[in-house]
Amino acid sequence: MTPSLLALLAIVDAAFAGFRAGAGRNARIFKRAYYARSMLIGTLFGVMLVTVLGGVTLLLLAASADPAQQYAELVAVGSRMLWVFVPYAVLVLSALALYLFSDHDLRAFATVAILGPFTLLRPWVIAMGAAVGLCASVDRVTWILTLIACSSVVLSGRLLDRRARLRL
Amino acid sequence: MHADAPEISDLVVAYDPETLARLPVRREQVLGELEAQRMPRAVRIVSSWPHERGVLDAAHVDRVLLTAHHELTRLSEEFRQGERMLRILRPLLAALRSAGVRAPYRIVDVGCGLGFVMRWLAAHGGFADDVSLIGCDYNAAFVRLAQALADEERLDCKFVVANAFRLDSEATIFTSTGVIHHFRGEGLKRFLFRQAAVAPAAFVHADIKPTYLAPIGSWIFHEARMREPLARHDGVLSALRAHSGESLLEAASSACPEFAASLFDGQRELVPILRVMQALVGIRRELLPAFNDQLGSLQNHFREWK
Repeated sequence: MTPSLLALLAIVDAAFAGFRAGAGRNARIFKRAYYARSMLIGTLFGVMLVTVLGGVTLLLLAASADPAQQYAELVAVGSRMLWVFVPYAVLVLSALALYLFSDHDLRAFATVAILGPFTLLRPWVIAMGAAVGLCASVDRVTWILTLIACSSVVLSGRLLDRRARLRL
Repeated sequence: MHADAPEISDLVVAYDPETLARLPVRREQVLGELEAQRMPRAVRIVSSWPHERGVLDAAHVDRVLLTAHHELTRLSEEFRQGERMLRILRPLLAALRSAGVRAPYRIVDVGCGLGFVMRWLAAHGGFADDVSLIGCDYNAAFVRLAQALADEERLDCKFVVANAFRLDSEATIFTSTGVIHHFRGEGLKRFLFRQAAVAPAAFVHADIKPTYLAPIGSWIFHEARMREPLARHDGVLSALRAHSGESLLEAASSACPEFAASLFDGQRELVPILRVMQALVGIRRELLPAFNDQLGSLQNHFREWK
C-alpha cells in the first residue's frame, strides 16, 4: 500500500509539474489540448521516474543482507512521509476541485489561499516529508534512497520546465 | 520598493507620443533612474541586457516583455480576468441598448498587451454582431502577436498599434486590465480626462486591489507562476503601486464628472482573498439608471456611485 501510494503521488505530482511547465508559454485562448499534452508529458516523466526509483530500490534490496528487514524499514519511512504528503495532496486536490467546479469567489479563494502558496511550498513539503520519514531511521541505505527519491521529485519539476523552455 | 518606484517595463520602452514610433532608450538613463530609486534588483536585471553603444537592444527588450506577457496571460487565466470583465460588460451593453444608445458598440481595450481579455471575450462573450472588440497598444510586437493569435483561433477581434483615445471611430466602452496603476499622480487624472474627451458611454478599468495582503500575495504568485525576472519584479511592484479605491473615485470625479463612477469588488474585506482585483467603472450619468436595472444580483459588487 505505502509504495503504491508514494508512486501514485509522485506520478500525480509530475503531471502537475508538466502542467506548470507548459503554463505561461502559450497565449492562445483555447488550449485544453495543449495543457492535456503538457500533463501527459509530465505523467510519462513521472512513470519513468517511479520505474527508475523502483528499479534502484529492487537492486538495493537484492544487495541487502536482510532484504525483508530492509524493505520493512523503507516502508516505515515511506509511511511516515505519507503523513506529510497525503494531507498536502488532499488539500491541493480539494482546492483544485473547488477552483474547477465552484463560483467566481470560491475559485479566487482556492487559487489565492491554496493553489498559489502551496505551489511555492512544494519543495519544502517534500523536504519536510523526507525529514519526517527519516527522523526515526538510522539505516544508511534508507537515507540515501529516500534523499535520492525526494530530490528527483523536486528536480523533475525543473527538468520539465527546462524541457518546455527549450522547445519554444 | 515603494509605491512610486517605477516598473522596469515603464522605463525600458519609449514611444513618440505623436507618431508612436519606438524611441531608443539609453541604458545608463534607465540604470540611473533605478539606482536613484534604490532598486538594486531591477538594476541587476537591466544590467544583464544587451545594448549597443549604450542604447538598449529593442529586440531583446521586446523578447523579455513578450515572455513576461505570456506568463501574465497565465495569471489572467487563473484570476479569470476575461470572466470578470464579461460580468460587467454584459449588463453594461444591455443598459446601453435599453437606454437607446445606438449600435455599433465598440469596446476598446487600452494597453491590451497580448490581448488576452479581448480574445477571451471574443471566444466566450457571446456578443451580438453589432459589438466589436478592439485592443490598442503602443508596442507593435504585442499587437502583431495578439492579432496573429486572434486570427489563428478565428476570434472576431482586432488589434492595432494606436493611442486608444485617438482612434478613427468612436469607442463606446473603454476597458483595461492591470493598466491604470501605471498612471501616477496627476497622470491618472489626465488619463481619465483624455478618455472622457472622446465621449465614450462607459469605461471599466480593472486592476489589483490594494490590500494589506496584496504585496505578499503578489509576491507568492509571481514567484510561483512567473519565470522571467522582469515579470516577477514588476508584478510585485504592481501590487504596491495599485491605486486605492478612494484615489480612483476621486480621480474620476475630478477628471470626468459627467460620469457616475463606482468600484466593482472594491469593498474592504477582513481577509482580502476573495476579491483580489477591483474595477473602476464609469458610466454617463444619464445611463446609470438603465445600468442599475440590468445589474440584478451584481449590484452587491458595487460600492456607492459617485
